[in-house]
Amino acid sequence: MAGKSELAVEEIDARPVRQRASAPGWLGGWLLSGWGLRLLSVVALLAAWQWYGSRPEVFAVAPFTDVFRELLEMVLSGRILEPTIGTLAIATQGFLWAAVVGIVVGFVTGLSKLARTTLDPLINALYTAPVSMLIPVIGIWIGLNVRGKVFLVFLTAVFAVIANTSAGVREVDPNLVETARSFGARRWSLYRNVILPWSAPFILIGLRLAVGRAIRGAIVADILLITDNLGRFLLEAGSTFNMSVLLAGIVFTMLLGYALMELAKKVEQSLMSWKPSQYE
Amino acid sequence: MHRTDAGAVEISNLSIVFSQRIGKVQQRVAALENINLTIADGAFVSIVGPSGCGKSTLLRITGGLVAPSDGEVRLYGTQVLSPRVESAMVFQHHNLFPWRTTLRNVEFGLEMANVPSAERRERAKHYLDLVGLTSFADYYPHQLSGGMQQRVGLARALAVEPKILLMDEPFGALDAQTRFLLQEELSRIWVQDRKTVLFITHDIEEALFLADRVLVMSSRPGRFIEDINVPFDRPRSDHTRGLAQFGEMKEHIWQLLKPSAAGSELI
Amino acid sequence: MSAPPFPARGRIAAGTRKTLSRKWVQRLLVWGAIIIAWEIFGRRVGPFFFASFTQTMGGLRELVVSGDIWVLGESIQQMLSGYLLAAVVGIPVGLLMGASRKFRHVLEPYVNLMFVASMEALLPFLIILFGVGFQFRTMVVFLFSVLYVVLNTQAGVRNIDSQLIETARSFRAPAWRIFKDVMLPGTLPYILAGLRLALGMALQGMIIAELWVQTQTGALLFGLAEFRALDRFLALVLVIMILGALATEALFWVQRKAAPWARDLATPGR
Ligand SMILES: Nc1ncnc2c1ncn2[C@@H]1O[C@H](COP(=O)(O)OP(=O)(O)OP(=O)(O)O)[C@@H](O)[C@H]1O
Ligand SMILES: [Mg+2]
Repeated sequence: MAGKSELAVEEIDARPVRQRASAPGWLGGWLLSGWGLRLLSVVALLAAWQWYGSRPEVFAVAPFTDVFRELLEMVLSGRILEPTIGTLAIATQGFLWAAVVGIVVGFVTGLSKLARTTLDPLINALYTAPVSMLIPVIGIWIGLNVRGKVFLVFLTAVFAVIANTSAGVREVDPNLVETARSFGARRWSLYRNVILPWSAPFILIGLRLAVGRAIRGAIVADILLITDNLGRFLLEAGSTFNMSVLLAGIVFTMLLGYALMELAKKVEQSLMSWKPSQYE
Repeated sequence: MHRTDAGAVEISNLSIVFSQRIGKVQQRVAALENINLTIADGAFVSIVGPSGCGKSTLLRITGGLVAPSDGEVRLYGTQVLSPRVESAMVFQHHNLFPWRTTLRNVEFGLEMANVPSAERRERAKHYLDLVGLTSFADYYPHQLSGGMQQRVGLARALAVEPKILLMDEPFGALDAQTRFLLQEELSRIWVQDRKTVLFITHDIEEALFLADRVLVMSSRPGRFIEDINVPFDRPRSDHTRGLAQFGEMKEHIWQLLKPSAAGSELI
Repeated sequence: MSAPPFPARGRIAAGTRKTLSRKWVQRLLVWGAIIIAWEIFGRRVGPFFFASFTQTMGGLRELVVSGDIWVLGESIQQMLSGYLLAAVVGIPVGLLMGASRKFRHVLEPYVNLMFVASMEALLPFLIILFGVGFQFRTMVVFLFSVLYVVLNTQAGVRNIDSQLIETARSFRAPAWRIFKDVMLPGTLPYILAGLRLALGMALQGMIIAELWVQTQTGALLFGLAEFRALDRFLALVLVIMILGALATEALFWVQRKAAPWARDLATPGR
C-alpha cells in the first residue's frame, strides 16, 4: 500500500482528556472498536454465506461449512500439494527470468539518458498492455508446454521489474553522486556504492510486485494455456459443478497468492530494515 | 452573556492533559497547567517559551480547535467552544491549500462565511495587495517562495477581518532576512488598524520587536513565569532593535528561558 | 515586487523546446531502428512463425478492410461498462475507507486480500454464476479493476494533510465544506491515478475473459493464431497495445490538467 502517511493523526491515538460521563462498558466498547467490528463483519459474512449456500434452490454457492471441510480435507490429505507445486514451479521459473532480465534492462534504461528517452514510452506501453493476448501464439512460438507457460509468466512479470528498477536508478540523489565523485569514486565503484544501494528499495518493490504478477500469470497459464496443476483442479471441479471443491480450491489459491505476497513483503522489509519507511 | 468589561481574550484556569500512547504504554502528558491571561482589546501580545511547552496548544484552544481539559477561554465575553468569527489563525507551516491559487486561498475564509463572490474577490484582492502579492494572484502555493507563502497565509487570515489575530510562529521557518522584512510588514499592517494579536514565537527579538507585552512561558507543563511590558515607540524599525534597552530586555528574557531551554534539549 | 520567477501557466521556453525536438529525433531514430530490426527478423523467420513490420501493416489493412477490427470496438464498449462500474463503486468505497476508521477496519482485510490474491482463480466460479455473456465479462473487468480505484482513493484521503483540515476548521468550515473543499480536491489526483492504473487492469480483464469464453476480440485472436495469420494477429496485438498506451497517456493528461498542483504520487499497485 502507499504507506507514506504512516503518521496520520489518528494513528497516534492522542486526544485531550475530558471529564465526561463514563464510557460504554468494557465488552460493548471493545465490540465497537476496530478489532471487534472486524471480527463481527467476518462472522456476519460467514453466517450470510452459510445461510445463502444452504438454501435448496441455490446451487452455485456451497455452504461455508462444506467449503471449509473440503479445504481442510484437500490440505490435510495432500491432494492439493502436487498441483500447488506445479503452479509454483512455473511461477518461480518465470519470476527468476523476469528478475534477472528486468534488473539488467532496468539498469540500462535507467542509466542511459538516450535509452530513457527512447525506450521509456515503449516500456510503459508494454507495462499496461494485456500480456495474455499473446496466449494464442505462445504455442507457436515456444510450444504448448511448461516452457510456454514460463514464458507467459516472464512476460507478465518482467515489466514491473524493469519499470521500478529504472525509476530507482534515475532517482538517485544527484547530491550523493556528487559527494561520491568528490571522494574519487569512479564508474564501477560509483555504481556499487551509490547507485545500487540507492535503487535497491525500488528494485525490491519491483520484485515484490513481480511475485504477485508471476503467480497470477502462472494461474492464467494453467487455466488458459494448457490446463494443468491448480488450473486443472479448479476447472475439473467447475465442470462437474462440484461447488464445494471449486470454492475451496479458489479460496486456497487466493490465500496462496496472499501468503506469498505477504512473504515477499516481509523479505523486502527485512532487507530494507535500514531504510526509513519512505518507500512504499 | 456579553460583558462589557471583558478583555478581548480571557483565559481562566486553563489546563490540558494529553493522553498519548507511546509504544504500548498509555501516558498522560500535562501540556498546560492553570493558565490565566487577559488580553486587552487592541493589544499586541507575544508569548515566548521553550519548544514543546504548549504554546501552539494554547493558541489552538484559543482558536477553538481543541477543547481544554479544564478551564475556559472567552473572546469578548463569549466562551470559545468552536472556532469563532472574532478570531482567525496564521500557522507556522503556511497551510495553504495546494489546489487553490493564491487569490483563491485568500478567499477561502470568506467563502466559508458565505460572502457573495463579487465582494469576496474584491476583499481578497485588497488584502493580497496589502501584503504586496497582487501580481501572484494566479500562482499555486508551490510556485511561491516561503516568505510569499506566509504572506498569503497572513492575507487569508486578515481577509475575514477578524478582531483577533492568532499567529503561531508564522515566521519560524523563514530565513533571517525574510523574517525581518515580514516582521516590519506585520508591524506596519498592525499599526493601521490595531487588531488584537496573540503572537507565538520562540524568537525573543521577534517578540520584543512586535509586541506591547511579552509573556514568558516555562517548559512543560507550560505556565507564565513573567509578564513584560514593552515600552518602545511605534513605528518600530531597525533603530528599535539597536536600542540599548532592547538589548537588555532581550538578555533578561534569555536568562529566564535559559534553564528551560537547556532542559528542553533533554526532552 | 520583483518579476514573477516563473509563469503560472506559461508556454514552453525556447530552450526546452529545442531539447523537446531533439528528444523526438532520438526517438524516431531508435524506433526506426527497432522497426528495421523487426522487419529483418520477421523476414528471416518466415510468416509461419512471425510477421515482419510491412507484413503486419498489411495485416492491419486487411483487418480494417474486412471490418474484423470493429470487434475490438465492441469489446472495449463492454470493458468500459465494467470499468465505469468499478469507478462508481470504487470511489465512494475508497472515500469512506479513507475517512472513517471503522469502515476501514472492517473492509481493509477483504480489500487487501482481494488486491494481492489471484483474481484469475475466480474465473471458473464467475462463469457458473454469470454464464458466458455480457454479465460475466463485465464482472471480470469490474473485479480486476475496482480494487485499484478503492486503494488509491483511500490512500488519497489518508494522505491529506491533517493540518489543512484543521486550517479549514479554523475558518469555520462546516463538515460538508471540508469534504468538498479539502478532502475531494486533495484526493482527486489519487483518484485519477487509481483510474489510470485500473484501466490497464480492466484491459487485462477484458482480454482474459474473452479468451476464456472465446468471443469477440478473444475469439479473433485465437482464430488468427489458428490459421497462422500472424500478420493480422500482430496487427491486432499492436492496435490493442497502442490503444492502451494512448488511453493511459490521456488519463495522465487529465491528471495534469485537473490537478496541476499535484506532483508525483505514491500510488498503490501496478
Ligand atoms: N495532539 C496531541 N497529542 C498528544 N500530545 C500533544 C498533542 N499536541 C501537543 N502535545 C504535546 O503537548 C506539548 C506541547 O505541544 P505544543 O505543540 O503546544 O508545543 P509548542 O510550545 O508549540 O512547541 P514548539 O515551539 O516546538 O512549536 C508537547 O509535549 C506535545 O508533545
Ligand atoms: Mg508550536
